[in-house]
Amino acid sequence: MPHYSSPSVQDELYIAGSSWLKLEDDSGLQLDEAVFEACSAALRNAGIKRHQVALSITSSLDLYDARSISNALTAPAAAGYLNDELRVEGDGAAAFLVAAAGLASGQADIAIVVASSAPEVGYTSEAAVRGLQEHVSSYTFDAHTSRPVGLTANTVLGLHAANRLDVGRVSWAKMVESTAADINRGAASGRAQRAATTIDAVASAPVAMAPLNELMLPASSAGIGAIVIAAGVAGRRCPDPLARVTGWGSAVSPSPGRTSWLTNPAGAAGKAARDAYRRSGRRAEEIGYAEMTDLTPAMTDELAEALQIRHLAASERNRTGGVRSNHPGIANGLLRIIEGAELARERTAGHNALVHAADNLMGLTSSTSSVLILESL
Amino acid sequence: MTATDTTTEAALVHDVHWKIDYRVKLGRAWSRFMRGLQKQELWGTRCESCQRSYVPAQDYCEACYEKITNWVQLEPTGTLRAATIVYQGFEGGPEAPYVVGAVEIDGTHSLLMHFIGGVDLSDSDAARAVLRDGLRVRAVWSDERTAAITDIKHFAVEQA
Amino acid sequence: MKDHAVISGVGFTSATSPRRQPLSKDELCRQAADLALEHAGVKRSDIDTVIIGDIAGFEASSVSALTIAPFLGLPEYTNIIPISTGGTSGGHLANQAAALVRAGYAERVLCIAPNTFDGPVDLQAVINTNSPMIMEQPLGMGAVHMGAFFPGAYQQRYGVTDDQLMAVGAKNRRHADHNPFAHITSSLADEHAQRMVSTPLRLGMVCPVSSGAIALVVTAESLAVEESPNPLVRITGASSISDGYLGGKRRDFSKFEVVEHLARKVYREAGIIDARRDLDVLELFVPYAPMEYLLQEAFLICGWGEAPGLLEEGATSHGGDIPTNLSGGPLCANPGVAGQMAPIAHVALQLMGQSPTQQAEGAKRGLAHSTGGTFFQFHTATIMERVSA
Repeated sequence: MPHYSSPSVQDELYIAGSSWLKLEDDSGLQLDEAVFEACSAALRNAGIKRHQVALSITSSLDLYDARSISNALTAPAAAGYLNDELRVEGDGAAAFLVAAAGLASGQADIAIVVASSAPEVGYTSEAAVRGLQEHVSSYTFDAHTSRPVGLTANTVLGLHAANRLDVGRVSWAKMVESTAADINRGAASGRAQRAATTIDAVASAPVAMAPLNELMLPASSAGIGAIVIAAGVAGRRCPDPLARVTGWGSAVSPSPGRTSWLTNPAGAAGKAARDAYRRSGRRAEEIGYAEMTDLTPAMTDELAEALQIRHLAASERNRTGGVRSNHPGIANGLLRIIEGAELARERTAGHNALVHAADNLMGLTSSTSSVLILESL
Repeated sequence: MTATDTTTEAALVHDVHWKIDYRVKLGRAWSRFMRGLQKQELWGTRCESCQRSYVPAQDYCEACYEKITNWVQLEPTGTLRAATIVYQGFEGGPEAPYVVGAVEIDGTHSLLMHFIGGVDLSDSDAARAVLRDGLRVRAVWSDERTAAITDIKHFAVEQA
Repeated sequence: MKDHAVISGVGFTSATSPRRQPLSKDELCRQAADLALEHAGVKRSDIDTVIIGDIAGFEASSVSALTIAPFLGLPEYTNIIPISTGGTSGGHLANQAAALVRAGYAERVLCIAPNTFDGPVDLQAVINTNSPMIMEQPLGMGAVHMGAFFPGAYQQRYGVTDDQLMAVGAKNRRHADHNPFAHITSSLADEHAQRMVSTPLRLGMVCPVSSGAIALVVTAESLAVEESPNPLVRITGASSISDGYLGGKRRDFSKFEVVEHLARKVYREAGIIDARRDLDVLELFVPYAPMEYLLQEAFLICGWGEAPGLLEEGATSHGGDIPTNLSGGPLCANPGVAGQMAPIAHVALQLMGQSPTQQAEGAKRGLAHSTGGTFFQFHTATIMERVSA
C-alpha cells in the first residue's frame, strides 16, 4: 500500500499581511475608525480586498472599550459587514488560532484577525493604560474569594517574582540588567512605549509590586493590530506573504486556586510548545529566533526553558524588547506574531521562528499560552 | 440529562459592584457630525467609490471598504419608515410614553433613529395609525445644544 | 485529525427565575457539564477544549470563562476559549466547536452556556447599555424597543394583525407546557399578556428572564461512533453574520434582511435546496414573538408575509410539517447565553429522538438560530443532521 498524507498537509496557512497601529493621545480616532485604519492597512499589505475575506475574528474586551458588546461597533470596520464574525474575549494570539482553525476547517480561505487594546481612558501613557488594566484585572478575579483580597494580574506577577528571589532561582541584579537591555533594544524600534534607559535608572525605578519595580512590569500601551491569514493558494498568490505557519499549540495555565501556577508557571507554555513542535515537525534546535511573552524578568529563564529556546543568543530573542518595551494588553499576542512574522520575512527561506504569547488578564494564573512556529518563505 | 436541586439552606448573596470612569473619543466622523448638529446642520457622508451614504456620518465605507472624505449637508427632513410607541420605558431613560422612529433622510440610503414628537399618544391605536411608513417628518432643534444626538429635539410631522 | 463534528451529549439544568435560583453560576455550569459528559459517554479527562460564552457587564467577573472553567474539573492545561458576542455568544459556541473539530484542532470540545441574567440588580438598565452609546442610547432605545421596530413595520407591510402576532406567543407557550426546562407556560394570565410594552409588543410577546445553564459535548465523529450511546447528530452547516452597527443600518424593518444572506450561506454548506421540505424542525431565537414570522421568512421557509398563514394552518406546531420552537423558545425560558445555545441543544435532542419536549417524529434535519447585538445586528445559524440510521 502506498502511503498517502492526511488531508491536513493541505492546510498551508500563510500570514499574508499585517499592520500595527500605535495609538497616541491625539489620534482623534473613534474605536471603529482606528480598527478600520489597522484592518485596511493589513489588507493593503496583503494585497487583498475586503470581499475576499470570509471570516473576521476580533480580540477585545468590553471593559477596556467602555462599551457593551464593543465588537458590535468594530465588526463592520474589521471587514465583518455581512460576514462571519466572532469575538474572542482574550489575547490576540488566541484569536489568531481561532481564525486559523476557521481556515483549516474549510470554512473560509481568507480571514482577518484584529486585536484591539484601546482603553477609553483619554490617555495612552503607560500609567493611564496600566491603571485601567489593573482595575479590570481586579474584576476578572473571582468576586468572592480573590477580588476582595486585592488580587490583580500584576500582584500575581509580584508573588511569583518574590518566590523566585527567595528560592534563589533569579537574582535582583540580573533582573535589573535584563530589564534595561530589553527596554534599550526596543527603544530603537518604532513601536516602543518606553525610552532608552540605564541600569541605574532601572535599579532605582519606583517599586510597583515588590519586588518588581515599574520598569520590570510590562510596558502597558495602547494599540491595534491586524493580520490577514490565507489558506493554500490564496496565500501563495499574495504578492509578499510574511511567513507560513507550520505549527501551533495552546494551553491554559492553572487557576489561582492551584499551587502549580507558582511551582510551574511555564507549564502551559511548555505544553503549547511541545504541541507546536510536534505539528510542525521541527526540532527545537532548528528554531533561529524567538518572540516570547516573559511578563517579568523573573519569568524569562523558566519560560525560555519551557519553550526549548535556551540555545538562542540574546540577539535572537525579542529583538524589539518584548513586553518590557511594549505591552499592548490583550493585543500583545498579535503584536508578538507581527514581530515574529516581520522577522521571518527578512530571513531566508526555511528559517524557523517561534512566537509565544500569554495574556496578562490574571497574571500567570488562568493565562492562555499560544505558540506558533513560523517558516520564512 | 436532567438535574435535581439538592440545596437545603438558603444560598448567600454578595453585593458586587463595578465602577470605572471612562473618557470616550467620538473620533473624526462623529465629532464633525455632532458639531454640525450644534449649529443646526445635518451632515452625512457619501462614499465616492460606491455612492452609499451614511447618516450619522461615517468616514469609512463598511460595504466597499474605502475611506470616505465626501461630506454632504442634508436637509433635516425625511420619511418615517418604522416606529414604536414606548409605553414601558426603563430606569434612567426618557419618561414614557414616547415614540422612537427610523427616519430615511431625504437623498440618503440611511435611516436615522430618533424621537418622533408632537403626536398625541393618549390613544395608542390612533397614534399608531398616524405613525406609519411614509409619514413626512422634519427635525425640530433643541434650544440648548451640546454637540449631542439630542441637539435634534425630535422629528415632527411635517405640515403639508 | 480532521473529522466531522457531531453533538454527542447535551446537558440542561432545570430552569427557574433568577430570584428562585439557589445555585451559583459555577455550580450550574458544572452541573450542566456533568450531565452533558454523562450523556455523551465521556469523562472529564477526555475533553481537550472548553468554549464558554458570556456577555460582559452582566457578569460578576470580566471574562467570566476564566472564573467558571476551574469549577468544571477539567485536566490541567485544558484550552479555554472565551467567546463574547452579546446575544449570539451561545450560538457561536457550538459553531466554533465544530470548526475546531473539522480543522483537526480539537477532538472533544465542551461548550458551556452559563446563565447570564442572575447577577444584575437592574437587568433592564444593563441590557440598555447594549444600545449604541452616544447615538441611540440617549434616544430611549432599550432591547424591547429595538424588538418592537420590526413587527411594527412587518404589520404595515403585510397587513398582519395584533392577534396574529399574539398567536406566536400562545403557540410557543402551548409547546412549553411539554418542556420540563421551560419557565413560562400557557398558564400565563391573559390580562398580563395583553399589557402593551412598546407598540406593537405586548407582555405576552416578550421573553422572561430565566436562570439555568446548558452544556454540549461536540466530538470528532470517528470517536463518537465508538463512545457515544446516542444517534450521531452531525453539524453540517455553521455560520454567522454581522450587519452594520447602528439600528438605521437595517434599512427594511419588515424583514430580517441579513438572515436571508446567512440562510443562503448555511444552506449552501449543508446542501439544503428547499428549506421547508429539507428541514424537519426549527428552533429560532425569538425573544419577541413576532420575530418568529420574520425569521421563518428570512430562513426561506415561506414567502415574505406568509408566515402567519403557516401558523394558522398548524404547520409550525407539533404535528405540523415544519414545527418551530417545540421547546417554546426564549418566550418560555431565557437564561442568557444558555438561552442562546438552547436552540442547538433542543434540535440535537430532537434529531437523537430524545427530546424532553414533544418529539417531532422521525426528525432527521434541523436548524437552530441565535441573534443579538443592537437591533439584531448579529445572527448565527447551525444546521444539524442525524447521520445514524
